[in-house]
Amino acid sequence: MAGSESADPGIEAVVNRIMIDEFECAEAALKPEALLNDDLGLDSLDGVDLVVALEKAFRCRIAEEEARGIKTLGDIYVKVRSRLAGAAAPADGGGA
Amino acid sequence: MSGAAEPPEAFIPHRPPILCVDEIVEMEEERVVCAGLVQAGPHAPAGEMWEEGLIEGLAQAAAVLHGAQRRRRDLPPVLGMLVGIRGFAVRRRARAGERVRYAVELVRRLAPFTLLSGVASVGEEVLARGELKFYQREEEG
Repeated sequence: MAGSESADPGIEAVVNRIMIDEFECAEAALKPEALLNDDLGLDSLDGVDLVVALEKAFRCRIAEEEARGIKTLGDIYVKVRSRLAGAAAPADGGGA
Repeated sequence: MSGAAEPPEAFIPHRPPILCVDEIVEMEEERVVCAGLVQAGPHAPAGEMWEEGLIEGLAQAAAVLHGAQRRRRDLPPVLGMLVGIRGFAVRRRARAGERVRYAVELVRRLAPFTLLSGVASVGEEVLARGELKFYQREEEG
């Protein structure tokens, strides 16, 4: 779960844009604690699309085991942040 | 490469008249190119292959890739099915007598789903391209 004290507005904005553009999520529903399945309406078919969209936007690789641990929107923020922290080429937040 | 010397039927259950691919042209770890001659039949009832036929051909090529990957790992075949397409563009239909190449490459796997990109072409002309999503039943005991 994402802690608000470690929020990154750039990452959150890009992730939220993906959720709106790719998965037709309502902007008002995009809260860190929102469950991807129950609250945002993603289903099992969307999982691989979500991972690919995140990897393209942030130019990082999310391992299958890591992807399986993502349950909430906040999990995505945390996962992307940790991936970017460990990578040399962070996203500029404008390329999604 | 593994599997390239065998016919597509060695990896998939499809048989004529619904079989769209009759040759494995190239086979790599995460990519395959199959080819098939368009003939009058279920996919081309009036001498032109329906757009869905091109998607079906790509799906069969993807199934060949999945089957070959499992065989390399000494795993038995499992049931798989096309569950989605995305960003598909069809420029024109294939005509009877044309030989269509179906090139498919793995984009991402998140079991039990795989996402692949596909291009159907005749010679240098691209007829259709898009992404395909597959479901593969998990291992069975």
